[in-house]
Amino acid sequence: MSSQFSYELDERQIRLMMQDAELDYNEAMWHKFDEMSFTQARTSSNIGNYIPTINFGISRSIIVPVIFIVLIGGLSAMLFSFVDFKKKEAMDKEIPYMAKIEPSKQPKVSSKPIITTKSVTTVSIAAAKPVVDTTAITDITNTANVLVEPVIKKVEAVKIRETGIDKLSSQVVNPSSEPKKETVIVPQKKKKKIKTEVLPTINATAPNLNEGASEPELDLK
Amino acid sequence: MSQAELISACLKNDKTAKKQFFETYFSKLSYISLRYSKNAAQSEQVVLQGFAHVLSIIGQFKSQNTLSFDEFVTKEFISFVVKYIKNIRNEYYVASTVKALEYKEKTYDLFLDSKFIDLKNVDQDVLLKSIQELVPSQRLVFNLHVIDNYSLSEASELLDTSEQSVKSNLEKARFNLQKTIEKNLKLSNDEQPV
Repeated sequence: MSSQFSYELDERQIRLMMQDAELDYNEAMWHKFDEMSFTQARTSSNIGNYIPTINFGISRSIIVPVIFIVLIGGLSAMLFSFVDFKKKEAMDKEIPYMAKIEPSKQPKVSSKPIITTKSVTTVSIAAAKPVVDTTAITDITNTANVLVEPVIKKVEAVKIRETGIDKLSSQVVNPSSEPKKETVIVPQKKKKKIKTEVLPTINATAPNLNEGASEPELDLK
Repeated sequence: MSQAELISACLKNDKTAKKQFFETYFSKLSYISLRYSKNAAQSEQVVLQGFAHVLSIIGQFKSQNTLSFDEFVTKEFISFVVKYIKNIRNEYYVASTVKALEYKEKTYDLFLDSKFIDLKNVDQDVLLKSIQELVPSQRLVFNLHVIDNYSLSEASELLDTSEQSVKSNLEKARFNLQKTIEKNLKLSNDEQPV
């Protein structure tokens, strides 16, 4: 505030003036109030009776720390999600130093034996022709040595082996009912042993350059 | 209708009793709402809702032994008005800084025409207009402490703020009110025909 300011208002006078001041009565305001109270009563009777009034006295001193705690917790959770401790442990393990030798490219040989199944259906052709046994029965009557042409009575005893035919006929009707399975086992190819290339070791010791070189002898005479 | 009868009739939602209550207290309470509000339109809303509030809690008067019925009604109405104005957040929480050099920067000179302005005898309408032009926080504090005779602690309790901020707002209100009165008086003098 300005240092030049001098307060000149008489507050006691203001109080007396304003405290006792009044406005003229307005009939229109009463009508407005009546309408308002009527509508309020209607709405309160409809809704207000069924909805319980709940007052939560949550002050700012509670809400603000709660929001901060949630924020800090959320941020720390997000940071923890980025850091993976398992990976770090794996990295800490000592990795033995070994020369990696990459084998020359070879076609891949599958270790598993290749098994191919071939279904062969064998239908006996003989089954189509039924086997018929014929037995000729000859009745020869030779009395008084008379040559008599023998009357050959050909009796065909046609007896069909029913059992065999039936079985075969059933096979003919359904030729692919039970296919025979033949398994062909392909012999496993032996995996070639890859010879590891051995690198020659070089001695780290530095060679003596003076070795073998003849030093001139000093003539002390 | 006696006071007790009026209260019991209002509690029974009697329309004639309500009208009598309204007629009795309208003049006083409407001017109070005019002081606390920023303009007449806001005051109208405050009056209507304030009356509804007072009528809804009129049954509590039985327990009030220290206050008279008039005092009870006025106090309840003022507390409602303060809460109403304070709950208009976009108006209440505004910057209330005062420029220190505002006195020097004024564009008008009060003593230009050698007219003396007596700040101790200000016209009621000018004073009301100047109070309404104050920032809501300062207007509420000035009305409560200076006009309605509330102590600083009572005002701070009602406004739900610290006593220090009430003091600060009161000082700002005093400064701004005087400046506003000066400005409004100057303007009213200019408008007057010679």
